[in-house]
Amino acid sequence: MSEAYIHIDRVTKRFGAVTAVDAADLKIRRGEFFSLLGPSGCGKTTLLRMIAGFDFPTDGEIFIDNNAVTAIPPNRRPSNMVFQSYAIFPHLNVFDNIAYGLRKLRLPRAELTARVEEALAMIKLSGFGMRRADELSGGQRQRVALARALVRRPKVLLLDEPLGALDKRLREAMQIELRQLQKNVGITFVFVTHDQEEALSMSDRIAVMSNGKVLQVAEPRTLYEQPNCREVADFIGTMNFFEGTVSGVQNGRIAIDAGPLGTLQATADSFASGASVLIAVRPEKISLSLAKIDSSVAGKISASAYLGERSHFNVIVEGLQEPVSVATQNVGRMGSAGLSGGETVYLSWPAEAMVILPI
Amino acid sequence: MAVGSAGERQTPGIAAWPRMLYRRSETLRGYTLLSPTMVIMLLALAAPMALLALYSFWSQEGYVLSTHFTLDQYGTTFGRDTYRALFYRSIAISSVVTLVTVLLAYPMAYFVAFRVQKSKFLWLILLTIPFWTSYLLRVFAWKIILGYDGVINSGLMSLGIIHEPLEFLLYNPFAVVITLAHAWAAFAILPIYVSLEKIDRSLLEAAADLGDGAIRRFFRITLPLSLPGVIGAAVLIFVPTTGDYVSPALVGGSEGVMIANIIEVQFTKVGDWPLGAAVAIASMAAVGIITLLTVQALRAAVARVK
Amino acid sequence: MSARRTQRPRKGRGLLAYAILYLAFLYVPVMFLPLFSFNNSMFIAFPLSGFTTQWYAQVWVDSAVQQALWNSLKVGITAALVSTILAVPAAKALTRYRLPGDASILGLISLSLFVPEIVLGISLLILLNAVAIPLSLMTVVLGHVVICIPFAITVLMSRMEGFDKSLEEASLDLGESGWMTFWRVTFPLVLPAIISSLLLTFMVSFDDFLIAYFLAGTDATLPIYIWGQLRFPYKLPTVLALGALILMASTVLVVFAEFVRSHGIEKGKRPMVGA
Repeated sequence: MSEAYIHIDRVTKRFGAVTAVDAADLKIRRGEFFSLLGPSGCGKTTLLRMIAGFDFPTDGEIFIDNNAVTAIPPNRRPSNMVFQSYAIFPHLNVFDNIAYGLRKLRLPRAELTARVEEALAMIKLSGFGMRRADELSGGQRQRVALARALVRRPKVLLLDEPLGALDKRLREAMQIELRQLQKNVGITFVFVTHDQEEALSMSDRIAVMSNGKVLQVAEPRTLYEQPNCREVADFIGTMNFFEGTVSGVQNGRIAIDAGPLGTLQATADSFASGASVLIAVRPEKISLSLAKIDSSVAGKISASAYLGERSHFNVIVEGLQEPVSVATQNVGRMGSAGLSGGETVYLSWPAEAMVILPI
Repeated sequence: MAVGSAGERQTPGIAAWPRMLYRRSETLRGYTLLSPTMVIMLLALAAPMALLALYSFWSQEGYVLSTHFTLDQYGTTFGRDTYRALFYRSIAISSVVTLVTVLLAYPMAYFVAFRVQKSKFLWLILLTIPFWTSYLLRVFAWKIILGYDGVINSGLMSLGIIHEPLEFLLYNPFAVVITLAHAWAAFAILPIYVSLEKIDRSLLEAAADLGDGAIRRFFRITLPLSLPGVIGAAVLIFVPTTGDYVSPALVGGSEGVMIANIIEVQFTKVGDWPLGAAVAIASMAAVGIITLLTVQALRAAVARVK
Repeated sequence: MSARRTQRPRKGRGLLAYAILYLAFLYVPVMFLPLFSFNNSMFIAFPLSGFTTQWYAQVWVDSAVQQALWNSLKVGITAALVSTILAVPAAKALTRYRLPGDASILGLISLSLFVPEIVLGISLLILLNAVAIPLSLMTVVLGHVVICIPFAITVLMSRMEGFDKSLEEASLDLGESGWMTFWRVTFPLVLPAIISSLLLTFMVSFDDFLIAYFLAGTDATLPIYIWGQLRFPYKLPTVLALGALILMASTVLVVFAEFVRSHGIEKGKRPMVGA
């Protein structure tokens, strides 16, 4: 484990009887783009607000750069925040908004102007300094909020769903821009979002939260390929789950009796013989063929959706309660066009496609 | 690494803790901000009212105030026929005033909330100006309108419609009712308007979509949803008007005297403060109970209709 | 559908007629004050006998009116300042903080709206008498502050509820203290409501008769002076002139206050609605 630049040390936050954040323990590295991902109400924003200093932990400590900041008010923390609503001061113009946090530094007028102009150039809004706040578009407001925070050269930038209010196209452009900006300035970003694609595409690491608990902290690829529990697997992308019982264990390989799917061989340790397990397989890892091949499972297509570059199928396998979700790439001109419903197909997947989770 | 660095970490000193506790506690900070107002309200509103209640259990012996506990003042208050009659009259006048004001104000508020599109602000200003301008002068205006030589009498006489001034216009309960209804009109509009304005317009569209006509929509959606405003307006008019002093004194005459005039007399000419206090407390309590029961009954009635 | 459309304007017109009648009911009675204030007769009666400005001239030179006006201004300005200054932090606390029991606090604050003025007046009179504070204009101010605070808090709370809490948080986040955040963010954004609150509470105090009547002692405010004149029929024309002047001044003040308030709200709110 490398150095923890921000250390959330077993932080709990309760509002009355509601536990918003439950013993969260996180170590965020210096210069990292770190995301807090989870559905609304999972506690991610509360956690961010505790890092910023707006909410105080009921229990636990927060360290930034080895200093306990738990008791420090927000105006004396080395962090700055981009608010979900952007919180652009409506009574100030763009220049004064960006210069707002510099007043305390008592910079000479020329230097202050230079720093604000530099920030305006960074967000590609040079010449917009005299604009009133209500003359800005959503994307411009988002940039001004960003510049206003970054111009103070914080150690940590906190972003609370900063792209949530933008339309899809602008949001995608801003994702790339934001990631680029973070690389250029080298500041640690803590980014709150409920959008899994956004988190996967932008972050160095992601913490998945649910009901106030941190479920898993990992790089995007690991999170997708190796979720550590059903909730994470379910929240990120689509996942098929099958239940099974471990029937044999042998040097890191296990055999699982998966009922209608037969006996499956998988790579996994720390499972004892007889343990109940959950087998998780991504839809795109499943191959679909019309001819029966070895160790495949027969099923009937119950629904299909053509999505351009890929197609989705629901396949009913006898003995399984839920249909199996399968995604295929439409590589050939006709792709899987012939399949629409009722056909019998055969499903198969490689052993490494399976993630084995305890129940 | 994390374990090793724990020793270097700086934790806040002991001195920071009381301040931190204060910062952590929103409640504490909120109460601090509220405390100046609360002190004023306790000193200048709650304490005087408590003292008024205390006075009502004392008695005035000549020029001396006797602080012996006694129920004599309440005996007098409830025992004297004139006081009871005045109290009933006050309640009757205020009830009529409340009913008239709310009924008149509702269509007006409805008009501004639902029919006015562009000039809402202008209408609201026009309706709130009387709310803020001199109450005394608005009451006084009715004295010169209803008076023996007043606007109506002299106007009708100069038009030749009547030859003798109408004496029944001024100095009676009717004069008090019309004066109060006019003076308090602005108080009814705003609460009703606010509750009407809050109604989600799509509810009315949904009702129309489900087959209700305009009249049914009004009685099934608009009226029930605006009822909190109506009740608010009614309470806001009924309670203070039962204790109104200026209108009965100016336009009520001897037939239009209300309970507040009796209280005033005890505090000025007669100088029997304990009796005045008892009348004030007793009538406030009675008005409070009547109001609560009526509001409860109204709410229950509405709940049953729903 | 088309049937409903043709019905609408007709219904609207009926309500419009009602609304105009209602406005007439509100305004016409009061209009007799300025009307007769220019009438060249001791008697307030039709027919009008001729135009004169002599009643205004009498008001202008009357030293008792001047004294009462001066007293009313002193009381009104002090009560407006005190109640608004008290209401700013109180409104902030009530809109921004989670406070247990805030409903009962708000109840106590707005209690004076529901207590008849005569009871407010006599109960304060008793208290002041009990602690031997002599009646003066200052005791009137105390009584007026009690009835002004609910109005001030209502005006300020609606403004504070209207702007985004994260604006204040952003200022803290950008390094300003709570105190400087108030001056750099909260105050400028609440300023229209503060102005409006000052004007409206001034009006409440300036108009009040009954509380001042019990608490003023020997000093007369303008409403007390007018009340005193009503007993003398020959004084009525000057009272009309004075009343007309007061009505005009308060109308201008109220229109200005409401304009500042609503204009400020619209201007402040627009950028806050998510982009």
